[in-house]
Amino acid sequence: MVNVKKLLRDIVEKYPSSAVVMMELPTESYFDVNIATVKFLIDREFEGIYISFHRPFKNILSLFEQHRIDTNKLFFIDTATALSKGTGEENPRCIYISKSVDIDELIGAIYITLPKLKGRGRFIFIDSITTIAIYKPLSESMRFSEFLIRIVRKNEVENVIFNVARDLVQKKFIRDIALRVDKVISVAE
Amino acid sequence: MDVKKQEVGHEEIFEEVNRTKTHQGHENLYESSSTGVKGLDKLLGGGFPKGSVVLLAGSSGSGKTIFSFQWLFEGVKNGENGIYITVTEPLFKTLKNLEVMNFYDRNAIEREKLKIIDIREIYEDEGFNLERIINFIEEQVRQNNARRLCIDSITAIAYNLDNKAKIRKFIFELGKVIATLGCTTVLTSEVVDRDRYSVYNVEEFISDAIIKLAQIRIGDELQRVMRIVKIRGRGCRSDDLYFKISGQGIRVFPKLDISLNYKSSTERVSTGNEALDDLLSGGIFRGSSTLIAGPTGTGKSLLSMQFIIEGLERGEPCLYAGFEESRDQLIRNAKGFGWDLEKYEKNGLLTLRCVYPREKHIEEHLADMGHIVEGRKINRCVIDSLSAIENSFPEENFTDFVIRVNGYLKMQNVTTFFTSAATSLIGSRRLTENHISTIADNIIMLKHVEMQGELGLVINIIKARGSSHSKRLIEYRITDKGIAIGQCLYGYEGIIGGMTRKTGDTVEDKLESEFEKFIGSETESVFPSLKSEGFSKENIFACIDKLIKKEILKKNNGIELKEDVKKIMR
Repeated sequence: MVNVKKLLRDIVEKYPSSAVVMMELPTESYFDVNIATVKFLIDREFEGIYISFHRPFKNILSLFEQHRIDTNKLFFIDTATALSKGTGEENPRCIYISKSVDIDELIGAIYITLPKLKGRGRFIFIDSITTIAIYKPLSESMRFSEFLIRIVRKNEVENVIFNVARDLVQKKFIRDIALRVDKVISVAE
Repeated sequence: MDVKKQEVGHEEIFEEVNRTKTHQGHENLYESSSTGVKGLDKLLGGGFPKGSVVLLAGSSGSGKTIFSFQWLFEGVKNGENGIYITVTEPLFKTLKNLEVMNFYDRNAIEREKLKIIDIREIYEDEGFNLERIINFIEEQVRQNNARRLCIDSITAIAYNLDNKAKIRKFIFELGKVIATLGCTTVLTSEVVDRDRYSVYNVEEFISDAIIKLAQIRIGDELQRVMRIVKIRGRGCRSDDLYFKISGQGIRVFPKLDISLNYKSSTERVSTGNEALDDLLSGGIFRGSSTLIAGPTGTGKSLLSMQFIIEGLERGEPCLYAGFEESRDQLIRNAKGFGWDLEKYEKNGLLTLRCVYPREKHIEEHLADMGHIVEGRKINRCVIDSLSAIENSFPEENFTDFVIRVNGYLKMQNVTTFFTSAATSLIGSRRLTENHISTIADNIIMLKHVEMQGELGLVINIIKARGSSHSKRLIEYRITDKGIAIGQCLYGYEGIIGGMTRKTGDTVEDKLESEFEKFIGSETESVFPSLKSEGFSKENIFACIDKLIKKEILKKNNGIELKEDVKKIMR
């Protein structure tokens, strides 16, 4: 597997103020790279928001703890629980989003959470941006992207990191048009 | 700055732009970039000339962006990549308005067959650099192998420049680059003034075609109109074209072409009523128009329906354009007279188009009807009624509608019945209103009349262009088989004015005395039943035949009586 840590270190050094980073990941190492990325940032005294469309908060929390990630440095926005028709346990570190994946609800949750980030650096990790596209029209996905770019440009967070599948046909569109990505981390199979 | 000198310089650039375009566009002279806008390509000679620069001018909300995207997506459908460059609003807002359109293709955007770009980022990052913007556009077109480019809007880009000389330079430079790229380009221009196409008065000089979109107030409604101001190398009509924006995108309703070059047939067609045909010297000419005028309840629709049924029974494709009654109501009413419209609808001979006038713009009605007439090769048409249309649109639009629909149907050799309701139940209404009377070839007037203490119905042929016809006022009845034309109203006057007075022997009086002459007192028993059946020639002759059969009347006398009846009924 590619040395994600090294690539992330380069990004953090090259873009000290802000960057939008896209991670192209193969299915096999998808979650491992996510964990490595979050661990790298937390270890560098970042605090962040983890937006999950795939795995429920409860599941991620347990996996992160297994990998000795300090989850006190993380806030979660969980859409996966509602999408899988489940109900999440109340937790001050998690905001559950309804299954309609309403963009305003998502933006609202980020706004509420941003001031709670107290680390040396702040990041938003989205797992994964393409899920929004499945549930929402392109205009809504792009509105969300526009919001993310804006908070990066305003330095409200230093990094927005999101992952996409390697074989995703729309990845060029997401990279160039929707999120106008500063850096791509590509992980080969 | 020496503006004059700068402008001289631009004239040279302008000439260069045109030279480049002429050279570049040579092989594309007759190739067209289809707009995807229904009704427009035909008017443009197939679409925009390939490689041309089109200035799409209009105020905010006039439909420029939708038009542009419809054209861009049409390109993708035809294998031509496109680029849309926005300067005025975020892309997500632009897309939001498009996602409801059925031409919208998300896949085309995500796969960048149609690349959408917010150019503001370039000058957010680097400041507004004229050269950089033009280079960027050029790079994008080349990288994406784009054959269609839209800059929305040229006005907004130019707005970032601080003086007119720079604006002119930018626009001419852009024109020059675009011309060398060889892709067809739409530049949108934000203008409010109806008579202008550009804000800086130079955009039109780099354009090969200019399309103006506007909204005009007609009555209490805003209507969208489009004008093809110019299209280099191709002739085009420059009148206002009504258009509509719906989920299907933009649809233009070209005005129905009419001219006085149509052929006039000498073939007579039946109205569906034998007695009426007799009054018209054997029917009406094929391709003629007939106005059936009369107040409510006189049987205008019924007479029209008889005309349609006659056509259907002869296997002629017919169109019944109803503006007052629903399809179901027409079918039910027809059933009451023993006519099965559904049968003809199913076999494709009959088209029932029932729409309230207000549901569509007048041009849309015309376009729909034109589509049906040509698509189904219609022979007979009924428009029921002109009054419903008249009540729904301003007078000038209505008159225009009547002239064009009448002219169009004549050009198509369609025999047409128009119905028109009179405002008063009894008496006459000025038929010259809205020039309908001069437009129609034939006019048949139906009237209620007060006669001998009863309300009767009278038919009268006012005109039959190119044909002799009966001038008589003739009584008729509405029966379960349709309209039954009866006797001529001899011996009455004041019928037209509605105040009927008996002035002498009527047809009935004459017939009665004629019967008395031949069958004497038998008349008292025979005549009332004949009267109840109606004094039509057929009924009287049938009655005489019965009398001969019963030997009440000798055969020779019967023949003589029939001759006398013919004279009375003439």
